[in-house]
Amino acid sequence: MRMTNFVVRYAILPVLTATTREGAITELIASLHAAGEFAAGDVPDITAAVLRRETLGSTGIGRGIAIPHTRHAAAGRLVATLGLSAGGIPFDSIDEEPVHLLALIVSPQDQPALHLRALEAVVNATRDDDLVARLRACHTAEEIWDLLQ
Amino acid sequence: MAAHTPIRRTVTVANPPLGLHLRPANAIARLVRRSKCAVTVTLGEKVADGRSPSDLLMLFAPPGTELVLEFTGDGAAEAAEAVVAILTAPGEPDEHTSSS
Repeated sequence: MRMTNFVVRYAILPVLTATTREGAITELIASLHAAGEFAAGDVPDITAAVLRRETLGSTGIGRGIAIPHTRHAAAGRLVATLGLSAGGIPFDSIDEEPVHLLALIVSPQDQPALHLRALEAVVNATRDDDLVARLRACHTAEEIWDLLQ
Repeated sequence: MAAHTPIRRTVTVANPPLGLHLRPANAIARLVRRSKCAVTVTLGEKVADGRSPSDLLMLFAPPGTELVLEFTGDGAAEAAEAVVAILTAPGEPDEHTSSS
């Protein structure tokens, strides 16, 4: 599986305005909704689910990357989006460094294997330090999308 | 000082429904980084450094997967107990809530 199989192109945020973990997650889910994903009434609950999972353990995997995620009954399909923060967001990451690249994943509740494959795809792509550096240098969603191709 | 004898454990992953996903991987890596021992997790030909959540996740180990763990160095016994407990946990609270 490749990230382009499930990242919603028009939900990519090259400039996150949020400066907190909660704010960034809220912003990314709102962007997915604005791109046509999720019913409006489901957005608060999906946001709460992602935030609740963060309280069980940060999804900051180090090297400036975090992968907040949830499975949710309201998700009709696997979707994700990316967000960049130039200033960095405190995320309680494993290396205690701020997060600059977020990949947020929401998948159907009844497909755990699909969810795991999506996590694997994001982790696999972001193991490439050069790609991460180039993603972080992007200024537009188009640039980010092109790098994911 | 005598060299440490590695501690080896074979573990069947629990943590339903996702198995060794991001949060347990992060929990293991955090624990290993705090300890003074080295940990490797092996699945077939794939070997993950216990300090790296990315390595651990790339093993792709859903529930029922058998992993071989090796702990070497100071605190290996304590680390082994803690890592095995993470991998065999009965699962996290389900992440969904109904939208109704």
